[in-house]
Order: sequence, then structure tokens, then C-alpha cells
Amino acid sequence: MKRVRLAPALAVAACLWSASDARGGDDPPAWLVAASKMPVAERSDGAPAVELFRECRVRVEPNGTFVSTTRRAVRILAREGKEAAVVREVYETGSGNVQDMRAWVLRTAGKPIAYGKKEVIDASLTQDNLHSETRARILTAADDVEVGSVFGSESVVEFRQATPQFPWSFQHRLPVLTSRFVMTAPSGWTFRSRTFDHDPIEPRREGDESVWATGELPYLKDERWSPPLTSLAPRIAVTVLPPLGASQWPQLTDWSAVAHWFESLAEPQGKSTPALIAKARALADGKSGEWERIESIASYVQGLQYVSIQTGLARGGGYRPHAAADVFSKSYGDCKGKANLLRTMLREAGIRAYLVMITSDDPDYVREEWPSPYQFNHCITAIAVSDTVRAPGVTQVGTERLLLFDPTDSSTPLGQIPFLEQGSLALVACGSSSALIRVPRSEPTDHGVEHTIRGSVGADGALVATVLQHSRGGEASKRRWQHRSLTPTDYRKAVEAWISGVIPGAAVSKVEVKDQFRENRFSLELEVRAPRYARMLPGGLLAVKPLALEGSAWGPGSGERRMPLLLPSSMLSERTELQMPEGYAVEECSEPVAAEAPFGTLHTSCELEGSTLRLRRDLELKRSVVPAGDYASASKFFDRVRSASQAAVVLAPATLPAPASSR
Amino acid sequence: VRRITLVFAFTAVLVACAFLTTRAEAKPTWKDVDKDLLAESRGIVDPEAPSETVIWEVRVTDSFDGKGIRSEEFNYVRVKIFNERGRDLESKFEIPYRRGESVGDIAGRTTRPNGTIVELKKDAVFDRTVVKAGGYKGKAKSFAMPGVEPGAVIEYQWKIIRRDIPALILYAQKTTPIRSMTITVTPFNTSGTDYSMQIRSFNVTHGPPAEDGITKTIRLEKIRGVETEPYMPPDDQVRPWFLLEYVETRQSTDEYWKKVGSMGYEAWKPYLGVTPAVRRFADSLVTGAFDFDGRIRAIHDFCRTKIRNVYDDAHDFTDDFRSKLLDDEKRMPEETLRRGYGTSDDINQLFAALAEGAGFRSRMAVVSDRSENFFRRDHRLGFQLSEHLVAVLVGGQWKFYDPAHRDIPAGMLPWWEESQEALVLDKETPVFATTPLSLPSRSLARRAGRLRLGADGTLEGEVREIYTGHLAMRKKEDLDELSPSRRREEVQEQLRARWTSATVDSITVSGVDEPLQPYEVAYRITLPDYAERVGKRLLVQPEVFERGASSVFTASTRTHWIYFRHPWSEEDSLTIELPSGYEIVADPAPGALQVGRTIAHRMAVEVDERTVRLHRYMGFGMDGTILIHPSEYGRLKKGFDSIQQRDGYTLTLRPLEAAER
Repeated sequence: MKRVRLAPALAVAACLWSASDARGGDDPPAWLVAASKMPVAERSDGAPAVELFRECRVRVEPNGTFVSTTRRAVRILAREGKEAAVVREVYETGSGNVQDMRAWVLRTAGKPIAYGKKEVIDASLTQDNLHSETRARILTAADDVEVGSVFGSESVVEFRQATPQFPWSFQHRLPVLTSRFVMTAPSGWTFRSRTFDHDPIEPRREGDESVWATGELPYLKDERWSPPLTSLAPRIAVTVLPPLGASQWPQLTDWSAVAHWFESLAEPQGKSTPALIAKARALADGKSGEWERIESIASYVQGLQYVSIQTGLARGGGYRPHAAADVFSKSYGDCKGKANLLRTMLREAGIRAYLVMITSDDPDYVREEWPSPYQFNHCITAIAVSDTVRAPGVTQVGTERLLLFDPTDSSTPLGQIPFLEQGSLALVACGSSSALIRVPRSEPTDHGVEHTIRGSVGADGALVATVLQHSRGGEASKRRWQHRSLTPTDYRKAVEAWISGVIPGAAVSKVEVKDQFRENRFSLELEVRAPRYARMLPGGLLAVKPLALEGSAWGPGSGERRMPLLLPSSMLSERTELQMPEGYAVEECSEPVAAEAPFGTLHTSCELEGSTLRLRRDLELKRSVVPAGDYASASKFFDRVRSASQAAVVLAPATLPAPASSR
Repeated sequence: VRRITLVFAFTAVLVACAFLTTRAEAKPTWKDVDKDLLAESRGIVDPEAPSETVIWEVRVTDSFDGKGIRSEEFNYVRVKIFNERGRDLESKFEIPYRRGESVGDIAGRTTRPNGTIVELKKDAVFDRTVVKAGGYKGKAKSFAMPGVEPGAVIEYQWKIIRRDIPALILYAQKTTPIRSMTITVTPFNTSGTDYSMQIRSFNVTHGPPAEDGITKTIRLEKIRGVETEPYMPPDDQVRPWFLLEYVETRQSTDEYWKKVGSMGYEAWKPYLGVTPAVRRFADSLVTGAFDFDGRIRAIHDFCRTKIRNVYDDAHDFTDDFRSKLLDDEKRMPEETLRRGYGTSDDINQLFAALAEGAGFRSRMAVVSDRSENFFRRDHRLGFQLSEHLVAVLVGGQWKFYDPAHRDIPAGMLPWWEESQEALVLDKETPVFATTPLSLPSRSLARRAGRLRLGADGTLEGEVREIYTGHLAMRKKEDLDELSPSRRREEVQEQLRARWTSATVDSITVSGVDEPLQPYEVAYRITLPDYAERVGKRLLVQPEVFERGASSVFTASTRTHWIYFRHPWSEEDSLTIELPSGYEIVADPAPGALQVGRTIAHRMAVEVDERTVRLHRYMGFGMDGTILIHPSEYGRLKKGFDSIQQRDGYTLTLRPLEAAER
């Protein structure tokens, strides 16, 4: 594929920002006209559109407000690229506003189309929140662009922030020819930046501007089992450093400063009320040991409902918990509200606890090099425990042993850490001992699934079996969550759909759940009848396939691969014990399989003992990232997994009748 | 004039009443929560439910306040929470409202299991603009009930005031069950007019309303929570709902529809002009066609293939272009003919005019959208008939056409317009006539493959799939807005969903942009481990297309009717070359299966030295049945399970040396 070289792309881009802004009426601006002339390879690695120009200019005003101007030019390369013809600015009411939003479509033929106020949609972004001040202005031209069109947009947003820090991504998924982040600040103000997922990009001084620029960024295609975009797209993080005394912003120069800032927001919210104190003590009193006292209070807070109300975001509202007393009286709160209530209640019961900032959905997102609260989107609690407390969630921070606990995750018990938080960097805010820590990661063996299948196969091929599924750790949490989020009827239907996907025509006559929450174990017992489980083969033979209840379709799928493969940590063990029909013997059985890859192992076996057939399958995956170049060999491992799950056993009657037809 | 005077006479009283009511409800009153309810641990309607609405009272009061009709809807709800899921489902609320509506008097309280009460504070109710665009503004009030926990009882109330709304829809169902619901309606006093409030109910049975003057109260008991099942009718055919509407009292149902048909005709008439140019063009189209079907097909094919529908995303018309077209008042058939593009109505109008020009009698017709609701003539609701068609009279019978959909041939309609009563618009004699349901053969999936099986169990070869009718329309619709390369990727993804281990290449996709052609896809496929290896044997399922297909129905029980969009059929033919060195051992093929008169399945397998040939047929809706009563579910499920079993028919390949022993 012919690609545009970086140097010419940047050269054209150099003209863009120097292009005069003078224009009349709805005419497209000069920077957009110039960008639209940038040469583009026809398909750009199969991308449906290419960003010709992507720029964010942030001006810091002496009064501490920021004004950002974002420009973007996108060429549509294929019909499905039309959805790239949209501009979206997120802002917080009360601390920001979108001052201007305009867009243009430069068509392959005909006059350009201009868009302005009339076409802008203003929408509330509550997402999971009951209420939030976050809103977005959106302008879309997706129904007006054609293949070959260039969509350009320019938006101006004024805003204030709790801290003067900016993460900025040079790219979303589309390829980008030129990408720039520009900052301007009053004289004497400086910047510090870090680059992630790209070679370091250093700022250039251009007059009073600092410019971070890169280009020719390849298409980041969304592929199955690839790492999240937050770990793939190049980004920078810029911290503004005003001269001493020039602003009221906190100087977040290291992680201790971030923790201190967070504590300053959270501390006043930890005041107790008599009712709260009484409840905390009532929960702890009479409990025999340290663990039991902690568990009693932790379970109470974990049981409160998750309700998020986000206000005062520019004043740190996104990081300031609601007062513990409010969360307690309303019996609901968001992650930081629940974590803060837990900390407060533990304190009233004489147990020390701290708030911990963490990211809940990408363990690789937080980087040590950039001390900033903007790297976190979640809050949990760290509880000081003695040497007697042993649990996977315990970690050493300075001189203290801390038990990490997420009271927002109602499916993970005290002692364990939700799967997607494991391995992440997290900031424990505990005064002078505050530290950025690596959250402990459990071993695959700690969160596996075991299937035990016992039953019998009739001479007509019918199966009657009991299926026991025992899951532990993260797998138990996952299954518990599914069980809790469905009605018993819907859960039964989901189980029926799962089993009939594995054994066509199967009926499930019993669905029984045993949830050992404290141990984080979840068991499911089923009684399954499948009239045609074993296939009748010519000559009176019966073919019995292993009941591969899970894992047979693991893997990223076939085909070309561009992105690395992010493999989850998992462990599956299956034991099948089936009584064969009377008068039958095993005629053929699959050979045992022992496959090994750097990221996993597979072992299967098949044995006959008397009339009992025993099948075993063990599959283990370690969390690992496989480069796209190693995809072919990784794929072979998953082929073995699939193949092994299909290997059948043939049973033959002791006296073979003549075959039905034989050619 | 007399009516208006009367109205004004009441106005002061009504406004005063409304004011008093508002004042009275500003301080909410609550009924006592008894201990028995607090002690309840499971639902009465559904013992497994996570929560149950014990009482839901809806009071709709219409009045005239001098500016118009003011409609006040008051809701009071009491819910018992049984577990955490019930708590999570029931304690957060959002009440959307629009310009011209107001939401007020929101109040709530939670009675905890120990009897203590937590009030919803006023500052815990949030008001926000959800979306603002152009002149539209959608707002919402949201709140979370405090102190909710398993065992608690929550109560809340709110009021919505609307102005001058033509009708009001009330849904009488929640995610969780409702033990008791009352709907009390006090209409605006219409005495002395030809109008009265009618309350129509859908998908629910109830006794006659209790009447107190002009106020009517309907009581409902034990309403089950929402249940979703595969192949179920559209939501509005399933969930209980009420329509409150002022209707003309002195008009019979037949008169109502006659009026709808007559008014529709008058509205369309100016846009159906058959000018000399249209007539000449119609003549040129039908030249050479001698019968009705041939002539009408020529016109139909012209309209659907040569006149581009500006709303068809396959055509790249822009919003900007469409808005200019809609502003243009010259959208007559001749203009559409000249332009070569138009809206769906423009295309249908042109078709009607050309049919007239060719000597046929044509009329515009309206029909309901079966994907949304099933038409009921006894419900006098004109908005049921949302879809537009053209009816052409032949041999005293109306035949229906909708050339606005380019992938639907003459004689078929989009599936959601088929098999329903359509109203043929006419000034004097509008009539209802039933649109046809296309037979399974009209929506055919014909799949063929020439494949080779390797000794390692890998199956590879060339496959061609051709789809017609409704099946083709759906597939074309899925792909028509994609670029050719993305279409191939999409097909590749679909095939990988069918066969997880497949490597697919040399994909060609055709027919997507050719309305007269079926949808066709051809590809080369490699399926490693297709044959199951059992020791030295290979087990081969010759019906490759159905290998690994999931069961149509998996649940053991059924609540709702079973609803298929349309009949369809499948014809598969496969030739598989087998590896040498094996003996083929085969039982007789499954043969024919008939499930009632609705489903037919046949499979024939021929085996010779090294080749297997499979021919399979499956047809659904052979007798025109697409809607099946839940009592028939067991039989239907068994039928589909049997088909799945038959499709799994397997050949055994045994190594020759083993066979010789």
C-alpha cells in the first residue's frame, strides 16, 4: 500500500495553521481547504476514512480559564466512513461552554455545505449516572457526505478545571496524516509533557506556542481480543506549571501531591453523624475477630445501591465523594461515595482505612510517569489489616498491610479484587505514606471453572446427566453477576440456551445455584436429558462427543491480524464420566492431547474403565499480549483447542450387526 | 357557539378545581403501609419476581382552562422490594417530558422493613434538558428513592400536565409484575357535542369500567412483568396498553373508515395527475407485454429500478438534497419521471399514474406496518395505517404494489405490508382488501457447494448462495450502504459466525445494487477439522450449511404467540469428494418430515465411490401460517429440533484396512 510520507504531510500541515482565518460567511476556512488537498492513499490500510488534520489548541488565560479550539479534517474513503463526519464536544455545565461549533462538507462536485448553530444538538450525557452536569454538543454531517468528500469542523470551548492537566490523544481509530496539540500560556508559565504508546514527542516552540506534533499514524482496526484503544492510540499528557503564586491550582508534581489533593477533597466528606456511628458500631460489635468486624461493615456498604449523581465537576466534584452521612442516610452512592462511607464507618469501629483511586476498565491505562487524577475513573477502599489477615487482595504499602476492597462491585467479596482492577496502578491516599501501587493480580488457578459431568448414555443415544459447574474467583463473580441480574425464569432460559447450544435438543430439568459468596465460589447444578446426544452411526455404532460446555470457541478467530492479541487469564477443567450402554464397548477413542504455547496449555485424555468412559480436558490461559506477527502460531494453539473439543469416542455393540450400506 | 359558551361557563370552575387540586397535592398524602406488606417475602403475581407493584393508580383529568384542553395525569405507585435486583430495578426514575408539558408534585417515601420512613427530599429531584436540537427540547426529571433495601416498600407520585393532545397512550405494564392497577379517567365534559372520550384497551382483558358521572375507572389485577422471547410479536401486540381519545359518537366504525378512505383519496388526488407525457411513457413501457402481469411488471420494474428513492441509503442522497426536494411543490408524477428520483410516495404516485396511463384503474392504499402492530378494523385509529401502497384493479380484484422498495418484485410487498387488510382509498367507495402473503418459494435461499474433504478432516471448496424475495431484501439492505470491500468483510464475518474455524476467501458479492437480480454470494472456504476424527474414523455431516446451527427454540416453555415475519424456504445441494483410502458407511438418509401443514423438510443423500451428493429442502409457512398460538409451542419446538437432528445426519468414513479386517 502506497503511503503518504510524514515529511510532505507535515509540510502541507505547516501551511494549515499559518493559513489565514479570514473568510466570509459560510465559506470553508483556509486551513480546511489546504487540508483537503493533502494526498491520501486510496484505501489507507482498509480504513473507511482518514483524518487529514487533527489539531487541538489550548490557550491558558491568566485567570485560570482555558479556551480550546479543535480543528479536524476527514476525508471519507468508503461509505461506512460517513460516520466520521461528526464533531462532538463534551462540556460541564457551570464550568464550561461551547462557544462556537461549525462544520463544512467539501464535496467532490458542487458547492461546499456549511453547518452552524441550527444543526447543533445539545445532549445530556448521564450514562450510568442518575444526574450529571456533563453534556455534549454534537454536529453531524454523516447524511451529507459522499465518498471522496472532506468533512471539516472547528469548535471552541471555554472551560475551567480542578487541575491544569490535559490528556490528549493524537488519534482515535482512523489513520491520521497530521496530528497536533498546541498550548499557549501567559509569559512565565511552563509545561511538562509525557508521551504514551508512541516514541516521545517533544514540544517545539513556535512563537508563544508550544507544539506537539506527529503524523502518519496507521489505522487501529477494531479486532477481536485486541487491547483497548486506550492502550493503543498515541497520547500525550501535559501539565501546566504556572509560576509560584500565579494560580490557585494545586501543583501536582508527584503522586504524593495528587494523593494530598484528593485527600483535601475527600477528608471533609468523612464526617460522622450519631446515626452513622451507631450503625458502624452495631455492625462491628460482637464480631469475634478483625476479619469479621471488617467484613460486617464492608458487606453493609457493599449492599447499598449504586447511584451516581455528578455535580460540581470543575471544582473537583468528579473526585469529591458525597458526604458519608448523606450516602448513609440515603442508602445509595457512587463508587467514591461508597468507598468514603466504608472508610468512615470503619474508622468509627476503630479500623483504619483509606481511599484508593484506580481505573476500572483497563489495567494498562494508568502510567506512573504522569501524576494526575485524570488517569483514574474509579474509587475503592484500602483497609489496614494485621498479619493475621491473608487474602489475595492484601498488599504491603510502606509499613502497612492494606486489604484492597471495592464496595461498588457487589459480586466480588471482601478479600478479592475485581478482575479488571487486578494489575492496574492505583493511588492509595494515606497521608505521608501515600503511594502509587500495583494492585495484586491473581493466578489463573484462582479464578477458574470446573465442569463435572456424570451420567449415562443409552443404546438409543440418549443422555441423562448431572452437570456441575464450579467457578471461583473472577469467574465466580462473573457468573454471580449474571445470576443476580436475571429473574429466575430468565436465568433458566439462559441456561437452557447455553446447554442446547452445546447439545442440540437437550432439555434441562433442574437448575440449582449454590452461591458461596464469602469464598467467591459459585456452583450451578443441572440435570440434562438429551434424546440424541450420542450419534447413531451405521453398523450400530454410537459416537459420543465430549460435552465441551465452554471454551471450544475460544480464540480470536481466523484471518489477517493487524492488532496484538490480548489474552485473558483463565482456567477451564472438565471431567466427564459416562456409563456406556450395556453391551457396548469402546471401539475407538481419541489420542490424548498435550499442547503448549507461551500463553497457555491444553491437556485432554480419554479412558475406559469397565463400562465407564472418562474424558478429561484442561485448558489454561495466562494473561498475555501476543504481537500481531505471532498470531499464526497462537492461532494453531486455538485450533488444537477446537479440534480436541470435537474428538468423539466410538462405541460398538459387542456383536456387530452388518453395516447398513457399505461402498 | 353554544358549546363554546358552555365551555367558558365551566372554565372558571374547572380552573379553580385544578388549582385546588394542585394545592391539595402539593403536600403529598400517603396511605399507611401495613405490617403484612412489609413482612411479605415473595410476590403474589409471580413468586420469583424481584419486586412487585402493589398499587398503581393513574388518574387522568381533562379540563378546559380557557386556553384549551388541559390534561392532567396523576400517578401513584407503591412497590414492594423483595431483593437487591428489585431494589436496583425500582429505585431510580426518569420522567421524560417535552415542550408544552410539565411535570410536578413529585414526592416519594420509603418504608424500611423495620417500619421507619425515609422521605424523598425535594433537592434530590433533578431536572435537566436531555436533548436540545433545532426547535425541539426534551427534558426529564430524575430521582432516586432513598433508603431502599430488600423488604422495603417504596411509594412515589407525580403529575404530568399536557395541553391539547389529541390522544393519550397509557402502558399498563412494567418490567416487574403489577398486583393491582386502576385507571380513572375524567374527560372534559363534551355533552352537547358530537364527541366523547373513548377508552380502548389492547392486549388486556378487564371488566366493565365503574362509572361515576362522567368519570370511569378500570381495574386491572395481576399483570405479569415484561417477558421477552425469541420470535415474538411486536411490543404493542403483547404489552397491555390503553388509548384515551375523543371520537365522534354518531359515526359507526364503517363510516369512520369510509371517511378515512375518502379523505385520503382527496389528499392524494392532486398528486396523481396522468398527463399526456405520463400516458405516452406508460404506453412505451408496456409495449410488447400482452397480459396484465407483464404490463404491470414492466411499469413496476421501471419505477423501482429507474426512479431512485431519495430515502434509500444505497443511493447516497444527502439530507441537504432531500430537504430541498421536500420543499419543492412540483413533485407531480411527470416531474418525478423527468427527474429520475423521488421520495417513496413520489415513486408510488408515479407508479399509480403510469398504471392509469396504461389503462388500469389504480388507487393509493394504506396498510399497517406489521413489524409494529397488527391492524384491527374495529379500532378506529387511522394511524394504524402508516404504510402507503398502490392498488391496481384487475378482474374485479385489487392487487397491491409498493415499487418504492427497489428490491421487492411485482407480486410481493415488503414483508411488513403483507397479509393484512389494506384500505384502498376512494372518494365514494373506499374498500378493505387483504394484501397477499408470499409463498415460501418466493423467499428462497438456494445454497450449493462443491467441496473436497481431506484425509485430515479439512473440508474445502467453492460455495454459492443465492437469496430471493424477503431473504434477499434483508441481506441487500444490510449491505447496500457499505463499500464493496466492506461488504466482503461483512460476508466474511457472517460466515465465520456460522463456522467459527472457517477461512474464507475469493468472496464475490453481487445483486446488492441490482434490484432485478437476486442476492448472491460466492466464496471459497476452508474448514479445518470439519470431519470429526474418532480414532481412525472420520465422521462427516454432509449438510455443511447447517453444521453448528443453533436451535431455533431453546426454552422449555412459552408465554407469547410465536411470530415469524414471513414464509421462506431453503434448497441446499452439496457435492463432497471424499478422501481415498476410506470406506463410506452410511445409514439411509432421513427422508421427509412434515410438521403439521406449516413446515416441510426433505433430505436425500446419494453416496457413490468417492462422492456424496446431498439435496435438502426446508420450507416454513407452507400453509401461510406465520403466527402460532403458544399452546402449539411444544409441537413446533419438537419439529425444529427434529429438523436439526436430521440436518446432523452423519456419514462414517472407515479406513479401508480396518474395513477389510
